[in-house]
Amino acid sequence: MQRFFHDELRQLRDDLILMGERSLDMTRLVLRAVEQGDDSLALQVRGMDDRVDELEKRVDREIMRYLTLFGPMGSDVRLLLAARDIGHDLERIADEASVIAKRAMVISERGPLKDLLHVPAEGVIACEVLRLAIDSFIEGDLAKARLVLQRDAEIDALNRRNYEELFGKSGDAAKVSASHVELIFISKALERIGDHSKNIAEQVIFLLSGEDVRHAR
Amino acid sequence: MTPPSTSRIQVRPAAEREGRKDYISIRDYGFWYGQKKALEAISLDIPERQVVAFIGPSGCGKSTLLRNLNRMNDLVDGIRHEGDITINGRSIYDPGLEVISLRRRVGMVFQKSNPFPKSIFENVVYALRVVGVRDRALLEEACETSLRKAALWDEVKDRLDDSALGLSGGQMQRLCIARAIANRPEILLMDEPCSALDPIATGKIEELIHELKEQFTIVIVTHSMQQAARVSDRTAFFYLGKQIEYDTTEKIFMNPSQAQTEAYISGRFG
Amino acid sequence: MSAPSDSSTPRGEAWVWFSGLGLIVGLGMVIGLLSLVFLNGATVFWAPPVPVAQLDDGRALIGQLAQRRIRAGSPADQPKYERQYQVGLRELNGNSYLWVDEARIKAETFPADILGLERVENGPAFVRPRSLRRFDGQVVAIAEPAFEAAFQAEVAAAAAVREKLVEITRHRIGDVNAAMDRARVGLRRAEDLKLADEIAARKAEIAALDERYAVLQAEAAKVTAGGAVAALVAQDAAGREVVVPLTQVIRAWFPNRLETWDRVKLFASRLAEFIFDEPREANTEGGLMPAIFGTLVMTVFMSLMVTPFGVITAIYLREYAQQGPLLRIVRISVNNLAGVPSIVFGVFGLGFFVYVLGGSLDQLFFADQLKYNNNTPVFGTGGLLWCSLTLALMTLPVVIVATEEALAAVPRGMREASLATGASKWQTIRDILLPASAPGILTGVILAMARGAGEVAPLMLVGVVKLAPSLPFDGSFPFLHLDRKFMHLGFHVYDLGFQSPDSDAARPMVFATTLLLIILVVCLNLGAIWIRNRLRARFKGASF
Repeated sequence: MQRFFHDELRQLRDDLILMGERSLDMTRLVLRAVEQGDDSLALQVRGMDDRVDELEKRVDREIMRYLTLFGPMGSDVRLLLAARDIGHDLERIADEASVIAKRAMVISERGPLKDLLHVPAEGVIACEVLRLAIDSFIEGDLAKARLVLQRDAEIDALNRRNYEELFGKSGDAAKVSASHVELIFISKALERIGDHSKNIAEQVIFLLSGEDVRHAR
Repeated sequence: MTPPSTSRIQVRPAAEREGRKDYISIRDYGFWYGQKKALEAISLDIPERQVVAFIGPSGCGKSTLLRNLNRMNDLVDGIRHEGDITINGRSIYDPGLEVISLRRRVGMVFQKSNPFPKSIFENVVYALRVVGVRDRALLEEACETSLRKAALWDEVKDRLDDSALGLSGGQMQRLCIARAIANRPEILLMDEPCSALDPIATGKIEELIHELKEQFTIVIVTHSMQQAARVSDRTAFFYLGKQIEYDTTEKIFMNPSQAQTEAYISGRFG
Repeated sequence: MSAPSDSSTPRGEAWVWFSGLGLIVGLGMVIGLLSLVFLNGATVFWAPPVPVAQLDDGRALIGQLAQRRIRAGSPADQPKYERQYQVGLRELNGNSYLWVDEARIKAETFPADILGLERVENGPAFVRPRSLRRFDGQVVAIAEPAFEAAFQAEVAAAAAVREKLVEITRHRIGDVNAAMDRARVGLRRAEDLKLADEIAARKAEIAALDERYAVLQAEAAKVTAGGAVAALVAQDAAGREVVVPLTQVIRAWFPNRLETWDRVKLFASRLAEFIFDEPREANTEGGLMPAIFGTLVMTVFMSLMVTPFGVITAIYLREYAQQGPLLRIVRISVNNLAGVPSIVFGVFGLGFFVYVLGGSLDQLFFADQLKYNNNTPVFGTGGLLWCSLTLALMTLPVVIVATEEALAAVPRGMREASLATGASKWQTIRDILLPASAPGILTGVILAMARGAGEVAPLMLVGVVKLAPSLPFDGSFPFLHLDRKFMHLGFHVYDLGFQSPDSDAARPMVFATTLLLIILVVCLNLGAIWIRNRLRARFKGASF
């Protein structure tokens, strides 16, 4: 029997998915901003962050209300708990995208960079992984969630290579330009986005199977 | 904040539904059973088309207050009251107002379902017969409407002439609800309507309340806080005849102002 | 650890056995009573073989064995018996019944030619038929083979004649007499008021009625004389000749020739006569139809009167009256009313209902009757109405208490539900409470009926008679005659037992009447119980 308050759970899911899509959009947009040195895109991304923050507060209110008023049991509890963490992670992803946007604007101030190292590739994978994570939540797909856990390593690897190439190439700190330092920040932010996607996937695994796979290894 | 329901009837959010804010207005109301003071200085306004829940431990006066809204306590000897209760601006203690006509505007559902030993049809249309409606066609139409509203029509439409006592507990209670709303009262009072029912029957009645609040002002007394949290728009917490706190349900259950309320809802009471 | 013994003997449940014992004793008494009444009563209708007893002093008697008992004064270890024979022929023997010391009976034979007769007057007869004398003088002797057939034919013809006579005298002449009475009253009134044309009209009416009377008389005489009045010539035990006109014979049978199946048919025929015919011979013979009818009509009328009074009183006491000391006093009085001896009600009925109310009614509505009919009271004397009212008053507390209990047993929730719907108190009572307590109310009415049907003492004072000329409920307007006196089974038993001239003849009838009264009350109760069960099934779920 569908109860009238089950509608609110549906609304919560919808809001979460909306958050996910927004965060993904922000990440994609910001990577284009970085590649094309397009400041307007970067600014757009910074504006979108506010909306995601609002969504996070709304999701949290909904979770609190549902927990208090409707006494959830079973998988509904896991959904609510997972939703809280996923919401936070998505908000952090949006924040990171916003940070990347800021760094991109700083870079473009100094003039476009020719060599973006592996950042574009990292960005692509980061977007794929985030997409996977969101899809695993929407579709309730354990396999996709586990895949996310695996692929996060790729982002970490690319981030390390960015680092090594930048500081290994020159070997000389004075030769590294300020823009490249911003690039490293962007790379780090992308790596964090990947970590957040991994967290999301862990929450999805917990939601679907009840298993707590955090802090593995 | 509450999304529209996907059930048959579109139920608007509380703020949209709300009509007159002081539809039922209780002002400085006190009530005695003989020497014993059962209610003290109750003041609250129940808005139109909202569900208000009265909660509190046993003996806190919530049922007494409910029964005073349609003056059912007049049947008890030696009662006394002070203060006033008005419905849509008119005092229920107005000497020009006949108690019977008050009770026809206010339907009541009791804890233990009490269908009459008559057929289902006769049970539902009793309120109409009482006011003198004789036309068979009118009665049948009203019966169908009420039973549909009470979500009982599909289950009994083929056996309206069977005895009402042959229904299950949950069906009987829905029949009592149908009977209470048959004459289209404005207000529905429910005194622990689900306490004798199993969870599924309880769920059905809560769904019913959710739909009925689009049309009726509902006051429900319940000893289950969870039920009050689920169905009501506003909640009043009573203790020892006094009104401790009255606010929106979210406020009461998520962040009550009074320490007593907090203690009660978190189970630390008593 | 030893397992508790699993004996099948109930431990510590002696009280269960005691209560079972009590039940058995009670049942035993009831069954014993019913058997006693049944055996004594039913044997009245059975026709056993009839012996010819030869006594040691040479006398012979022909009679049906009625009783056998130990002679008073006989030694305890060697009891002497005596037998009572129903010999009939009261006009010759002085008494229908004869006690004979058993020791004096030398021999008993069962000759096949003994004939038993039930007669209109003078009781039964046991004779040895000799011949049949037809009205045309022809004589058929017993030896002829045609005797039996001729005899039965003549008996049937005589029965037809007798019935016709009854129809003329009782019904047609009776109607003429009643009309004559009314006309005479009218005449006296007209004379008193000096209304000339009225006087003339009445006189003409009376003359016409007189003529009619004469005509009917002549018809009756014709029937008596011209009818086929055959006679049976027979001999009794002592050899005396007995001539029995066949119009006197109600039933004839050869007791020693009957097969068992014939005896059963005879039993059934006598039983039917008992229930459906009218009494004869000072109520010692014949049937009980008027008494049965009177009892039924009175019981039903009493129930119809007590039910509304009782129910309305109970409703008032429970629903409307103010709780307080006055109400308690009223309730105590009602309960005490149930303990008042029934004869007291009879006296009250006589004093208040008959004299005061009846007298007033007569003064108000039947003044003419009183004035011109020799002060014959209509309602100022005992009758159906006063009897029913008196008994209704007597059984009122039963109905009130039962109704109050039934009303109290209706679940409070039902009352509240009705009031919460906006019904007034009266609507709640009428639509919810009364239907729901109907089974309980009927229980009270059943109890009242049972009590009322069995009371005799008050009735004797307010309207029951030994022999009533007409039924209280018949075909003439206004159909239910509330002013008529009537017969009652209970009174019938008393009358038979203690007031009849021939107590031996009456004894079996006493038992038969008692049995009938028990059956009547049981039937009434069963009827009411059936109604109650139907009501209970309709209102299943109510707690009675």
